[in-house]
Amino acid sequence: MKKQLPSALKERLGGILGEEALCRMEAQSNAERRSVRVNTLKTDYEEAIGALEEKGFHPQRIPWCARGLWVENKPGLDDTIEYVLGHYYIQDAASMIPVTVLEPCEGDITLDMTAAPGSKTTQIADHMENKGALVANEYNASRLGPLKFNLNKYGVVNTIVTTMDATERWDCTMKFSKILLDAPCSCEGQIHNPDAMKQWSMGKVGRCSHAQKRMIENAAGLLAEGGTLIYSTCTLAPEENEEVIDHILEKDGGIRVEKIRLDGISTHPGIASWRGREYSAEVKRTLRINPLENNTEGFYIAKLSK
Amino acid sequence: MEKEHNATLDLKGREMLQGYGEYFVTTRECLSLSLEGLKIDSIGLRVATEDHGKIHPTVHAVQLLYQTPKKTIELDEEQTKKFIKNQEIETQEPDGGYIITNRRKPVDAGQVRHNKLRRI
Repeated sequence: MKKQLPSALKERLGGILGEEALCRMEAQSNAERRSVRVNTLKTDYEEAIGALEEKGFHPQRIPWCARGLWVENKPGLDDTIEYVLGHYYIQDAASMIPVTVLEPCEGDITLDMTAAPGSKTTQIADHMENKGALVANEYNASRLGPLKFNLNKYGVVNTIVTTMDATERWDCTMKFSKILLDAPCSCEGQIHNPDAMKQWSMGKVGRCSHAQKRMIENAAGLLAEGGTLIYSTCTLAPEENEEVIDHILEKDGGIRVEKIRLDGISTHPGIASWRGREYSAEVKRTLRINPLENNTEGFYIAKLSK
Repeated sequence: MEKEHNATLDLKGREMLQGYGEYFVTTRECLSLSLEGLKIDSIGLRVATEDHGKIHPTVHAVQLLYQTPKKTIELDEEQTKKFIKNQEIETQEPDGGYIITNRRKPVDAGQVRHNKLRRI
């Protein structure tokens, strides 16, 4: 099925991805496979594979996520007893990357700054084996319910849910060893999602970019010395990706960009300039994942340290 | 809860909190953080509610914390899905409270009355 992209977006994506890649992507059908992440707080990885196999989903390991599985795209994935009991989370395979790169562990004090609906929060809790402390923050009141529902469903114990505005500086003394800032964005990477495409506008890109810069400043201030901050979005907009990283490098001299190593996935380095604006050379260490190239949505990930 | 369902509640070294008729389980690390300046909505996993002096476990407590319950009713996948959707299941078990299991793993707490199993 040919994708109907707004013409202004199509023109932008041609500039970001290249015309050839964009044509290929537009002609490509939507994902033949879906992906799930096994929740080892409630079940065993091998047991979950067995249950999905038994139901004809033909699970296959995702190389870049230890608990991730490709499954056949057919009805019923959200109607199995294992899904109802929280044994797996239906999650795009690219969106599993930020937590994989963050590597939270039980000794960490971790912050998920924009947590709802909880896919990555529950993934963090799983990595931490439900130990240590995880602050799951969500400012949007209407998204708090789904977050808490998922934390309960997936059996997360080590969490404090907070309702702070991520764009404002937090007046607290606590510092975090690991922070995930999976920022709200214009969703340009979801080109297979007609709803996301309908809501796209250049105005939204600008508003998101402004808010993201405030969020990353706040996150950098909350990061402990020696800590790791992952910034990620599901957009392809340089204004919301490289420009945000360039902004924090300029604002906070203590922040560095780290190289990201991932197996079994095709990635592209961050872009060094966009529409006449040159970014710090460090942004080339960040990663871009083009939509549908790996059977996933588009994604951007930066690993920062202090 | 342990006595009613003849099961062992394993907190795995975690802490239980009580407030406003609800019980929560969380880690010691969560309780030791300096939370000043943060707007807190909730802490940990809600494991039970109190009603007229009686404590009812939540589905999450049963699934995560109940170890080797002895008073159980095993349901198959379709029955378990019906049970979770609050539909009644026919049973020959005597009246009383049970832990419902699927593939021998605790799923939730249920009550049998007059050969009908219901969710509590």
